[in-house]
Amino acid sequence: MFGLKNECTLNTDEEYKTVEDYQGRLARWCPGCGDNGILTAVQKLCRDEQLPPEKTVFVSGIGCAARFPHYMNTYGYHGLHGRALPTAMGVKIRRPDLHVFVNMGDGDCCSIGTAHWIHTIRMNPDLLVMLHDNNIYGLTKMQVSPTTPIGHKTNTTPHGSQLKALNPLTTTLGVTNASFVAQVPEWMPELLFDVIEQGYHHKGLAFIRILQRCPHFMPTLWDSLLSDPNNTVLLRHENGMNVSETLEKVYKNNEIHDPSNLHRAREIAEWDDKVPVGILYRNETIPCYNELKRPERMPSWEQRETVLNRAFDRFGMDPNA
Amino acid sequence: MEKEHGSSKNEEPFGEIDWSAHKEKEGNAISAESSLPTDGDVPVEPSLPWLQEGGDYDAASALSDLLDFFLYGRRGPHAVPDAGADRAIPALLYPYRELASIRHDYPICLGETGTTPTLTEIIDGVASSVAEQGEVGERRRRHILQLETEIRHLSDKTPGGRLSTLWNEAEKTLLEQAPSDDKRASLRESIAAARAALKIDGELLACRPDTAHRLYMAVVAGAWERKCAEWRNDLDSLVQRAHNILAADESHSADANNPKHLRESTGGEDMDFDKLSDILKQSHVGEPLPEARRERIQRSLDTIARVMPLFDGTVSLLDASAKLPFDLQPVRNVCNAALDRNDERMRIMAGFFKALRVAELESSNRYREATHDRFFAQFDTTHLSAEELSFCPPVVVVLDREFFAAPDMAGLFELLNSGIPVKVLAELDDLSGGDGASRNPATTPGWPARLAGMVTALNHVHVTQASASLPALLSRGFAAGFDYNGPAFAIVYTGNTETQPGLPLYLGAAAAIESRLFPAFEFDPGKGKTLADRMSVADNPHTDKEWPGDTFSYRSESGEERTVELAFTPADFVVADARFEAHYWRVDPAKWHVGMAPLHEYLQLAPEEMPGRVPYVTAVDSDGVVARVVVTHQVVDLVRRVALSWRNMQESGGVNNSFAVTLIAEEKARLEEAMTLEIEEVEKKYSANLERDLGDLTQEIVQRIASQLLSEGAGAPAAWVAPAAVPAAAPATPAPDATEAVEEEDEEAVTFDDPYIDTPLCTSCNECTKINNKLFEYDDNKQAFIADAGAGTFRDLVTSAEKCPVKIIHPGKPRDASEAGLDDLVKRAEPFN
Repeated sequence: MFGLKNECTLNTDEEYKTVEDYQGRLARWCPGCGDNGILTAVQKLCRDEQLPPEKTVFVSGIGCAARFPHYMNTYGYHGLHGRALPTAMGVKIRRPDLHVFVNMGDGDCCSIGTAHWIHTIRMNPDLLVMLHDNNIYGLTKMQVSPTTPIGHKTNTTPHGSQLKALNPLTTTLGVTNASFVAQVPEWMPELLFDVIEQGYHHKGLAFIRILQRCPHFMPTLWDSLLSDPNNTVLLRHENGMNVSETLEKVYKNNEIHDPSNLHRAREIAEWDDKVPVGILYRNETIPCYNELKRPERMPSWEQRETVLNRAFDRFGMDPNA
Repeated sequence: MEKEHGSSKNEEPFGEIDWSAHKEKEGNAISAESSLPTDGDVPVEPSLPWLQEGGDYDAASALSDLLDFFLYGRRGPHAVPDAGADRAIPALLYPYRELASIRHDYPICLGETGTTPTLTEIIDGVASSVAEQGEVGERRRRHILQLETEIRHLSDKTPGGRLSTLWNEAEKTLLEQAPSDDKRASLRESIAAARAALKIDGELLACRPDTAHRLYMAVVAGAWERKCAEWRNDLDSLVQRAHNILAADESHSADANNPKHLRESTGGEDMDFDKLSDILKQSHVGEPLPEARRERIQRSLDTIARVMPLFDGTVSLLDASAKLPFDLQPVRNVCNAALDRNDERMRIMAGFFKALRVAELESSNRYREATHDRFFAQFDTTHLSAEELSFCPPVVVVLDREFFAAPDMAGLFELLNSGIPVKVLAELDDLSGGDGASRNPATTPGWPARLAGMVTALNHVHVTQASASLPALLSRGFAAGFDYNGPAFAIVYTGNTETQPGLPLYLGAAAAIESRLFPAFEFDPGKGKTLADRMSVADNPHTDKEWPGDTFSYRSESGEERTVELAFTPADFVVADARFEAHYWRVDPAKWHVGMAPLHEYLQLAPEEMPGRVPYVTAVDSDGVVARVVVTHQVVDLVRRVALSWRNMQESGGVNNSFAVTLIAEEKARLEEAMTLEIEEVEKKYSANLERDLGDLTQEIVQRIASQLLSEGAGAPAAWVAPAAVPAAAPATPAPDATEAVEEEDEEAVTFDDPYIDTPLCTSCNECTKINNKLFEYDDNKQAFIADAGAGTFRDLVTSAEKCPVKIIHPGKPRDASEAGLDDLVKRAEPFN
């Protein structure tokens, strides 16, 4: 009003931002939901890196995890089911100065979004991709997802799922140009943060599968991991995940794994009996599509406005008509 | 404030309502919620001891006090004085009160080339040229924006300051404030780069009472300069050609051939100039110019030279200058004088154009004395062509407070109606019809606020009405009015900090537009013949609505965020005006009554719902507390009247035009009727078909069943067999033994009496904080810790420990031995200690 926008108040002081400054709307996930821990880890990353909120974008598809952008006090795009990756890539190509994060659930990424998943891995744009994998469709109240364990009963598989679960790690590692693949559970906040941080600094697409609890629909899914530390294998290497001494004492099952060894990474990803936690594969030399496709000249504001208006006009309706 | 509430306590039987206690409690509540600002950034709702019918405090008498004020202007004995620094400002204006921190259209730079870009536009231009994408660019952009804020603050304090000067000062201040040498160096680098890209300089014009006037002068002078610049070359060349005729004649004269002149002309000494002079005298190079012609050319050139400074850029339009035969300065407040001045100016300009025409004819040797002498003898203003007229500088009239105090309306209308292209700028600083002291002051919007409408009725005058808060419209309207080939009238509400002491001038001016008391419009008769061509009200906010509105955010007493949709009406404008104190009353929150209704809602009530309701304007007081300001019925009348005027303006601006709306409705009804008939026709046809088909089908089915039954004999039809109950698959239970084993191990470990949390392992899942957010809080990493073990029960601790998905809460031993069900709780706590 009054020809003014009070949100245009100039606040150009270079202030130190706290975790709270990155908190968007109040998170409305169920209490006990693993998404909360992922949110906290990402907010801590933003704080530690002091990412400018106006230069940070979270892109998501549909699902519980896809509510992520609402809870970050940054830019966000809550898009179409399964289409988070192409949207994020578009953002990154046109605005290489932005930090782009992608949050997808297992349904979003591994079911409807599979084609985008495979091809985006191959294109290797500079994104941090988090797969919130709770092995179930939670938002729509318990339907089977591609990663649901065999035999598990859901609303769509009342007699139990008949297919063996899809393994997002082997799938990703099987795609040409995969450059960063990691797995970490959200209930180990220290490791979660470390892997996300390393993924953030990776040049190229960092794909992190986050094992996530759904206390409502999958309350017992990870019980074997939570109750016995020996079922978790920490992948350790000087170029891999950092593990504190405290954790070392609890998680004694370790494997020294060089993240540059793709062959071994694929073997580890195949494990059925144990769950690897850490960085399986990392290769900084693979070219990024967003750099190959980087526009030589950025469009002028007038050009952007023209293009936007043209796009809006296609859908514009005359309210008086 | 405390004092007033104290006194109200003494005079009214408020019994248990202890205001100071409320205040105390509210203060504590706010400070306990650390996220709540206490500096009043977001207004806070006061504590509300709502008056109930039949309660201890007599709600009926509170309502009667409110009604007494609303109907008769009699104020109850407990009115909160609303004056001076303690004045409450309308809620919608509140977020904007620190104007200098908000990017807005002021200051404006009066550039040398007559352009008037805003500081924001200049800074954006500079930033886009030196701040590339990426980190360095981002830093530069921030630095440049810091500079903008600083310049804006400075320009508010420094009237007449130039951009370059203020830029230097702002740069100095910022560099001094830089926290470290590194930051200082990078700031210096950014500002230097920006400075190199800065292509404009000029006075920075903040929003002040004389801003509209200054802007007018700058726009008009700029428009004139641009106009003249196009013509200047032709004019110069004409003058030169006329001069050449005289110079050629001069060079043939005896004077030119004398030795002295020859020596001076060549500047040499090696020649015998006497001899040369003799030779030249003998040569014959034609007849000298006839005396009459030479004189005519000379006279024309003299006339041209007198007016020439107006066109060659040496004199700016509207400047006082002794170089011209007439006074360019605007006429102030006296319309008759403007007519006289115009006559005088046009006489001189007719002489100028006559001289130009003569010079033109002479320079092309086409002047024929037989015909032209007679023509030019009677040449006057009526002979001027349209183009020549457009180069006659119009008389500018400025009307200010002095004019509106004793208006010569007849003079003004005679002037505007005369058809001469006079340009009038009216500066208005009061929109009210009275001074608050007269008999019925607030109910009348002042006639000056309707003056532009009256002038529009003349139908051939270019009219611009706007307030100082719309500099873009002002610049556009001023320029269009100046270019218009006829009279132009621009009226500007400048804002007034005397009558609205709590508001920045810009906001007061913006509030006049926003409240519809002084809607912006432009009427340009040059654009066409219909109202649709000529009239534009598009510069008003929310043109399609009765009142513009916005969401007002505040916090409840308990710190909850609340929002409410408010409309901005003339009552908000009046409430900010100190002179109308008698017409508004900020009601003590202790006396807020359920019968109070927000004004815009009150206006929507049906007449039978109005009795017993008192309209109020939402405001915020100087302590940042939400206030309710009740207004008198006169103010409500004013609001209704303004609404009707605005409706009228909407209609003339083509917004929801009632003729058009009626026509559309009629046409729509006609079409719908036709469509309904058509649909009925189709339905009838298809339902007939459907019935026929259904009949056929039923018959066929019956026949088939019958034939089947007959052919299969009397066997029982296949019954639905209930599916066998599927035994529930055993749920994949996690090895419970393993969990227990771990827990038992824990049990043997050291136990602690005090509760604690393994904070680094917390996954921020909100389980515990949801159970008790005083007992459990998040640290800087958003991981839980026991903030205050005394803030919750042992039960809270145990329940949280059980709920915690990563089992990191250790309840310890109970603190309060008297807590109910303790034995059971201790048992439940054991696995977690």
